[in-house]
Order: sequence, then C-alpha cells, then structure tokens
Amino acid sequence: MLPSYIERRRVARERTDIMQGTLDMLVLKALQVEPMHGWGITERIGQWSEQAFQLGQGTLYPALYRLERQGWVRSEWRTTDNNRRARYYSVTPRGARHLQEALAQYERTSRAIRLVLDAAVVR
Amino acid sequence: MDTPREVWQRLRSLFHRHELDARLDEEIQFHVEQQTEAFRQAGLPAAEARRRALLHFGGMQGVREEARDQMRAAPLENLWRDVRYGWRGLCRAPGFTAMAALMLAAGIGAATVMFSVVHGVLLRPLPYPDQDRLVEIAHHVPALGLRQLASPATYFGYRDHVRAFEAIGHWDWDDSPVTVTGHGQPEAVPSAEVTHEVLSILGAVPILGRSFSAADDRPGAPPTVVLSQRYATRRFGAESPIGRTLVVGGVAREVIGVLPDGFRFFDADAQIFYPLQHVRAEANFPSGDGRAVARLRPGVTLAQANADMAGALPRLWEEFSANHRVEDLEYRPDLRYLKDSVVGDLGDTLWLLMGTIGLLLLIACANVANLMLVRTQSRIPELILRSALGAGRLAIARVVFTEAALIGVIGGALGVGVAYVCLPSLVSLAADDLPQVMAIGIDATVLLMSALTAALAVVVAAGVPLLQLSLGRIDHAETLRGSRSTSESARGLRTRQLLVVGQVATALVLLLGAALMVRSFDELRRVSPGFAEPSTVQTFQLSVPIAGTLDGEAGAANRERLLNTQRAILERLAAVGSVEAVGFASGNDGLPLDGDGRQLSIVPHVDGVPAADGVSRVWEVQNVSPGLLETLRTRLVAGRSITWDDVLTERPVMLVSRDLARREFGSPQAAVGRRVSGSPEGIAAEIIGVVEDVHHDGLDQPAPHTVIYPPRPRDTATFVVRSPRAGRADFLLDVQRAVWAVDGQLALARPQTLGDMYAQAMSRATLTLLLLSITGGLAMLLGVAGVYGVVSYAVSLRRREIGIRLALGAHRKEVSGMFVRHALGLVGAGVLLGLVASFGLTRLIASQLFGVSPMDAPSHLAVALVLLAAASLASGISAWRGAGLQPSDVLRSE
Repeated sequence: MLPSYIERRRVARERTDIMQGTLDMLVLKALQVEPMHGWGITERIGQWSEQAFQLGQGTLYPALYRLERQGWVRSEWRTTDNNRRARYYSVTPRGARHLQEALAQYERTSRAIRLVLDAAVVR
Repeated sequence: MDTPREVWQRLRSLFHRHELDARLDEEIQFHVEQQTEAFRQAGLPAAEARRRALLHFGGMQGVREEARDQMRAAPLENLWRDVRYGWRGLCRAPGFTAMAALMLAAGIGAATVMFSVVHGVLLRPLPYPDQDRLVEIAHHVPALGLRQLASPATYFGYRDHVRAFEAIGHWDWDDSPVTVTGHGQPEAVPSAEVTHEVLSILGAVPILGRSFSAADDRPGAPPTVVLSQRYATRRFGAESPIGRTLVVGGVAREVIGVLPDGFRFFDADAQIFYPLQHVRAEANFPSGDGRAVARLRPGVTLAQANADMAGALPRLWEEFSANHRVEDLEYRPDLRYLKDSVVGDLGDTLWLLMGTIGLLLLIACANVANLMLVRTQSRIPELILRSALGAGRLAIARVVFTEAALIGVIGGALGVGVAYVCLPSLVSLAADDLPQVMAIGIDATVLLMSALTAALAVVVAAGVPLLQLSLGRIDHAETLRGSRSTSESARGLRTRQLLVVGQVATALVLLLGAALMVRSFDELRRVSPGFAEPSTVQTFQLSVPIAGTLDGEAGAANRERLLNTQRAILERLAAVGSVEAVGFASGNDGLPLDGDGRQLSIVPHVDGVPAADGVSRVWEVQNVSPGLLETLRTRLVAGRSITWDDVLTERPVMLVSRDLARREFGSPQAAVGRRVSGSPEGIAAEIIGVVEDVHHDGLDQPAPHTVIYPPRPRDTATFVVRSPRAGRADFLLDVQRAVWAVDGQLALARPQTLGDMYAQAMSRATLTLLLLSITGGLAMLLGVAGVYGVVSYAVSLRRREIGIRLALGAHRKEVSGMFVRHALGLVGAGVLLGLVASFGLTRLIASQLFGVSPMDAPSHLAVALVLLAAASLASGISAWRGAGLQPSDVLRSE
C-alpha cells in the first residue's frame, strides 16, 4: 500500500544524508592536502577510513559531482605522471570555509554526545 | 533544496549532456584501470585483478545514474522525455490527434474571439483620462416614460449650481456633416459643435496650437475651429494649419489647434470641432438638444451627484422655463457613467454570446474527453505494465496528462491562430454594433484567458479518463494475460454514456437559442417599416452653407435662397437617368432608421381647445419636402400630402401618423381638417393628411407618433433619390454632377442606400442570429458525433453477443435495433435534461428576442424533434454497421 512505501523512502533518505555529510568532510579534507583525481582520493580516504565505501568506491563520483555543483570543489583535465588524462579536483575557498564550519559543527555534536555518555556512566 | 546557483548549474548541464557523459565514463575507466593496476602489482593475475577492481567499484549503472542525477536537471529531462514519448504516441494515432486537436481548436478559437470582444468593449476603460469620473447628463421623466438627455438650459444651470461637477460641457451634431471650403476641394466633413469644456473633459490636449477657451463660446466671438490630426494632414499636408482660415458651413473660421491622432470623440468620427455658442437668454427648460458630459469631483458618487442636480432643478425652472404649468412634471436626474452610455445595451448581448460560446466549449471538451477515454481504455494493458514495473499513480497520470497537454497546446495554438486571422473580419462585420471608440484585438490579457481556458480543457480531458481509471480496480494479472476485463469496459461505457447525455442536453439548449433567434429575426423582417424597397433609395446629406442668419425678418432672404437651392437640386436630381422620385428632409436626423431624431413635447390644443387630459405628448417631428414621402413610398392613408404650393405660400400645414390619428381623433379620416397648436395663442397647423406608421427608432421599437411639417430652414438636409441604380458608383457620380450643376462648392456626404440603413438596424439581430446558429449547428454536430461514438463502442463491447445472435438467426435489423433503442433512451434523457435546463436559461436570452416568447412551444418541440431525428440516424448507421459482421468471424476469433 502506498503509505508504507512513502515511509520507507523517507527513512532511507535520512540515512543517506548523514553518510553524505561524512563523505563530504573526508573528501574536502583530502583535497585540502593537494588536488587529485578520483582514484587518488579513494586511496587517501581508504587509508583513513573503510566505512565510507560500504557501498563501493564508485559512490565517490556522485559525491564529487555534487560538491562541484555546490561550488565547493572545481575540476580540470590534467595529465598524470604516466601521461594519462585524468580529472583533477581541488578545493575552492568556499569549500574550505564549508569544511571549517562542518568540522566545528562535528566537534560540538561529538562533545555534546560525549558529555551525555560520560554523565550516564558516572551515575 | 538547490540554491539558485545550483539550479543554474543544472540548467547549464542540459546543454553539455554528452560531454558530461563522456567525462564520467572516462573518469570511471581511469579509476578501474588504476585499481586493476594496484591489484596486479599486489600479485594477482590480470583477469582476477580486473574482476576484483570492478567488484570494489560497485554497481556501475547505479553510479552512473547517481552521478547524472547530481549534475543534471533531472525533472526537466524527464519532462522532455515524457513529451517526446507522448508526441510519438500521438503521431501513431493521427486520426485521434487531428480530431481532438480540431475540436479543441474550434472551442478555444471561438472563446478567444469572444474574450477579445468582451475585453475590448466591456472590460477595458474608455481611452480618456480619469474615465471613471466621466458621466453623461441624462434625466428620467416618468410621466412621459422617456429619457431626456441635456439641453443648453441644463448646461448653464448645472454649470452654475452643481458643486459635484468639476466641469461640464455640452455638444451637438445637428449640422454634421459641414461643407468645408476655402482650401482645396470642397468636402463634407463630420463635425461636432462643442462648448470649450468638452475637449478638456475628454483629456484632448492639442499637439499644435491651443484648444477652446471660454472666450470662444461667447456669441459674437471671432470664429475658431479645431481639427483632428487626420483631417489636418489630409487638408494641409505637412505644413502647420495654425492661423489658416477654413470656411466651415459658410463661416470663415481660424484654425487654432490640432488634436492628437489617437483621440476619439465618443463614437462619432468627428474630424472638426467648432464652438457651440449658446445664447443664455434663449435657453429653454425642459427641452432636449444635444448631449452633455461632466467630470465628477474625486470621491463623488452618482447618487450624490444626482441629488446635487435635483437640488439645482428649481433654479432651472425659475430661470429657463416659460411655462410654469409643467413644473409639477416629475423630472429626475439620472446620470450614467460615460462607459455605460457608450456601451449601451450591448453588454447584455455580449454576455449572452459569451455564455453560448462557453457552452460550446464545454461540448468540445466533453468530446475530447470522450476521445481520451477511448484511447486510455485501449492503452490499459500498457499502463498496467508500467504499474507492474514500478510506476506510481503519479507516473501513470503523467503519461495521460502529457498527451492531453500536447493536444491542448496544439489545439490552443491553432484556435488562437484562427481567431487572430478571423477577428478583423468579424469585427468589421459587426462594426455597426461595436463602439468604435474601443479597440478590439488579441492582447496579453486575452491570450492569458485563452491559455487558462486551454489548461482547463486539458484538465477536463485528462481528468475524466484518469478518474475513471482510478475508480476502477484493475486486475493486473488478468490484464497482463490478455483477457479484457468486462467490468472495466462497462464502466468506460457508462462514463461515455453520461458524457453523451450531457452533450445532448447542452446541444439542445444551444439549438433552442438559435431557433428562438431565427423566429425573432423572422418576426423582425416581417415588421412593415413604413417604406418600400429600401435598396433602391439612395440617400445622402448635403450642407448648403448660408452666410448669415436664417431666423426672423433678417433671415427671410437667406431662407428663400436656401429653399431655392434645395429645390433646384431636386429638379436636377429628377433629371438624372433612371430616377423615379426625389425629395429631402431637413436636418441630418429626418430619415427613419438613421439612429437619430427630434421629438416635440406639447400639450396639444385642437381647434383651440387644449387636450382633455392635459398630459404632455411626445411626438416625433419630421420636416420634409414635397416628394419625400412619395420617394420612400410611405403610404398615404387619408387626405393629401404636402405640395410646393403649401411650402411657397408658407401655409401652416402638417401630416400625422396613423396611430397618432387613431389615438387623438379616433380614426385617420377624423383627423383630416383639424387644427393643432402647442398653445391657445400659437399658430395652428391644419392636418391635411395621415400617413402610415414609420419605424423611426428601430424595427424592434414601436413606431412613434409622428408629426410631419414642411421644410424648416437648416443648412443641412438629407436627400433621397429612388432609382434602380441606387448604391452604384456611377450613379453616385451622376448625382454628384447634378448637385455641382447647381453649385460647384457643394459636396455630398454619407451616401448610403436606405437598404444599408435597414440592414444596419437589423445588424445586431443578424449578428446574434449568425453566432447562435453557428454554435447551435456545431453543438448538434458534436453531440451527434458523441452519440455515434457511444453506439460504436457499445457495439464493439458486445461483439461476441452480436455474433451469437446473428448465428442463431436474428436479423441484422433486430440486432441493430437493440442498440438504437438504447441510444434513443440516452438521447431522450439528454433532451429532457436540456428542456429542463432551458426553462431556466432561456430567460437570459429574452432581451434579444422580438415577437417571440422564450417559452415558445413550437421552437422547443422542433428542436427536440430535430435532435432526436439526427441522433437516431447516427445511432442507426453506427448500429447497422456494427451489426454487419459475420458471425463466423466473431466466434472464430474468441
């Protein structure tokens, strides 16, 4: 029946949002170090976390396109050391600002959670 | 939600679709190759490395779609895809598409035309500044049952005593058209005499020179004239006419100003204006002469202004009325906004036509909905497949809706296009009725209304099948397996039957309107107008400019000269080949059906004795030359007509109309020989003859009581010439030459045949009849088509049953008779519904009818029978064809 179908959709979208936010931060942080192509980002983030690619490495690309659309990264064709053509992404000033704000927000949230958890334990 | 920037990015991406796709593919390829290389270097064989790399990457298609979603304007592309798909579907069914689009085009085209007219005439304001404060002076005189407009007395009186008016002006057109000489060819020009306030009240600011001032209005002031730009350019070309002299009606006037091109003087096409110089001492109250227009002070309502005027009336009686006995006559100010004055009762007709077009549109929509219903029915298997593949209700609705929208766009565009092409010719057809001061055309507002109508039609056309779909419970499995669900089809049939009943009912109402108008028109044509064979009577106006006065002792010589000139013209005209009779009427308002007239309001004194009841009569006045009545072939009922002897000896004689004679004297014979005057000591005129009644005011109005006198001294006269050649250009040339033979400075104006005037008088009825007949005819066609369709559908549903019946020995006639009876039941229901509806609706048409009651039984009966007959024919044909199948075919195909 239609009603439950709609509910299912809503729950799924929320989960995606949280994952989206985390992936954004990781990608922006990675690109802040140096501009690189999608594969390079995968390698670097792969070193930091394995959670991000639960669904596959390919999910990076929709995220990159979204970040570009939102104006937080920009991209251009460049040649790699092996003379291959690859699309390189770099952070824009706006993107850097957004990363700062997101990190600050993340800090605040995790501190609040820690406080609550500590309080719960201390009892 | 996307920021505007992001929306812009998405839109841009529409144009770079292929590049984006290529880029994505290249990036993915690069990524997978790098991952493969990494695995190879870790020691895996090439094939295994690639397999692992692909696994790690994840679902390729999903990634592609996700990435595309991020970059592209998905909703827009989906829309485009829907449109393309819908368009292909429509192209595959050209018959359906053409029919539906044409029907919609007919409805929307007609609606657009009506919108333009209604918007241009009724809804748009007059092209004058502050037009919502402009009013026309008028009074209601209940005792005489008439409406009196303005007069010099009311102009002076209200100007002095009514605070509610910011300004008031008076104007007249008695001497129009005037003969203008003094620069180039003499010509007769439509003109208006105005007091100085009129042009400024209408906001006419001269582009050259100045407008009139109070000084110009004073009798004896240097004569001035103001021209329209059109006339000034025609007369003087590029040079400025300011300061030049024009001889207007025998008076040399200085041109002091030129009005802008866009200025329209009410509905008259006056090209030159000169001051109306009233002599206050001669003003008389009550009387009716000319018209007055005023601008109200801001914030003043009509009621307040009327009250103010009523308060000023006693002063008018005091100053201007010679006959105080009339003071107890109830005289009520009755202002009307200028817009209402100009539009008149056209509003009723227009709204009526609008209503009928609306009904036609409804029928067209119902037909399109019908067609869509059939189409959707046949697509049910496809729609079920879509639903099974995951399309929600919205997606399926979108499919149906897109097709309906495409048809709406095509039909709408076609309809508006046809309306655009036809509007000018339609407007010129109705030119006599539509006020020329309003500009009628298709502008933004009209287009918006048409678009909204098209949108509404689309909603109805798509809504009906969708509603019917959603109300049904479609068994997916059964349908996919291919067997037709009978319950679904039956519901489809019921909906269509309902639609047909509605269509037939609406068609009946429209046809009834048309039938009533036909009878009305017929009655109008049967009215005996008071003249015969008007198409062979040529009329024209002629102004003989006489310098100096025509009144009193001083004017006697001038009067004689005027009469001699007019008589000489008559003689010359009579000598023109094929001319049978000639005559003239004094003034520019003396002929029947010319839209104008003069009235006399008196308490008649017969043979010195005042009328017993003391009530004032209102009589139509004509001043005619000997020969006019004979030229028009207005019959003489008793006594004799006016002769030149009477005219030259200035004998006080008069003729009266038959109804007047009956009313005042009992019979036409009794009237002859009586002497009538307006007061005990006034000159009494002897009634020498009685003529038949002439419908001066229009064929739908009763013929007024008329009194006819010998010619009176006025510059302008209307000539009539009876000849089989009337109306032809060569004849007019002969007439013009005859006039020039008398005086080369004279010019003909307003040549038209009496037949033209008769047609003009009938034009409103003609137009209404034409439009109602067309809509009625179209409605019947559409309704009958609907019946045909329903019967075909019913037959197609029951093919199997028909086959069995035929196989069992039933005659084709019996089988088709089944369906015909059923269809007639539907049509009968529709007719009954229509008759019931018409009882309420025909009252709306009552104002347009003449000589026919809205409840006219024969019309109702005739229309019902015609509709039944047409519908039974259609259903008969359809059923006959449907029942003509071979039973073996049907049974074999199961």
